[in-house]
Amino acid sequence: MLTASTAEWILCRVTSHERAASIVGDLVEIEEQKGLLWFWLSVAGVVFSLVWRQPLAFVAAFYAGAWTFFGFQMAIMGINAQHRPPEYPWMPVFTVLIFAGSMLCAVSLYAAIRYGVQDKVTQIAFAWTSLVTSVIYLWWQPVVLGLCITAALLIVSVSIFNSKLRKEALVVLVSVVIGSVLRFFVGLLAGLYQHFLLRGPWGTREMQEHPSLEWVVFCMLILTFWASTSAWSRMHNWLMRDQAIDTESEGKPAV
Amino acid sequence: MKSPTTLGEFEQVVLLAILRLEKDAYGVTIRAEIAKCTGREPAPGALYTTLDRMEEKGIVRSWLGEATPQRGGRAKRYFALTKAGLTALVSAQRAYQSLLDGLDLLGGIHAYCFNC
Repeated sequence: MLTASTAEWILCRVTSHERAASIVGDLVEIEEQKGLLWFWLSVAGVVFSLVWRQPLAFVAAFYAGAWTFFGFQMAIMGINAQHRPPEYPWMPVFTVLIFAGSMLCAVSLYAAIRYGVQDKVTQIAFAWTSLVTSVIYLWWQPVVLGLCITAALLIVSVSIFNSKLRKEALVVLVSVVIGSVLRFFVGLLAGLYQHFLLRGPWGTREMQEHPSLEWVVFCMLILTFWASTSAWSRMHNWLMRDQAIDTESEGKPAV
Repeated sequence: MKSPTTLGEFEQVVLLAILRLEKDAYGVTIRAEIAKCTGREPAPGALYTTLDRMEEKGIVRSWLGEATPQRGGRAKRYFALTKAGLTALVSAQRAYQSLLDGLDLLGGIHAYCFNC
């Protein structure tokens, strides 16, 4: 049946072949009573239900990461920053925190939309995001700094000794490290490209004369966030598969 | 002891339908069972994403069954509750039951309509 084959091909774009076939088989059974229009509306509904979270989560993560990077930079290194940390040895530490913090914000939002706020890995990511954000904005308050460092050490200790938490923390760590390192290289490459286009200081006029720089940076940032969120998704799937819960067997395992 | 997974309302409805259907729980029958018991047909998109999500959480397990000519030679995907799913469902139902203790909602709305 051409209709069913076409529907199966469409669903195979968004889910596995076996699942697409079983869903189309179900819809074909019901189509006899409900009609062809209902069949295609249902296919559209299933496609939308399966795909809407991921692109929305990615877009939200991208903008969250971009805006928080800007915000964190302004808080620490901006001209109007009220509390600048000492240049040595703390500026490199805060530079790392800025990269890590913006990636944490991005992956936290991605995970919250994609997997829900009740997901344990999402909650760990939000906890770390809160700590890093507090340090960046309130490092100059000894009590806040002390509490954040204590909380961070506690989370790390518990993560090391608890095998389940260790895996969940690993998901967060790998995604943030991938994103932060790539983000750092994007900055380096953007600087090299800018220097290649035009040496010297850049202002609004230079940006307007060389729009390619913005597009190059934009595309590289898209790749950075894609790599980070993909790492998160793959490791999250690994974690879920690894959590064997049921000891009973009802039948053949799912494909 | 690990706390049971928290279930949403629709997830509970789907799990109960799967339990009622025993070994015959697949998309079509689950949908029909929910429609029969609740009077509302769930949208296919909502049903399949819920089933996928519950399988990711480890609450249900699925396997492929027989293909039929009626389905164009496509196999059915059957579902069953896992031990964790049953635990989560029992926990949710116990919570409802403790809230229902002392109330007689099945007697109708008039028993609790003070301003009717």
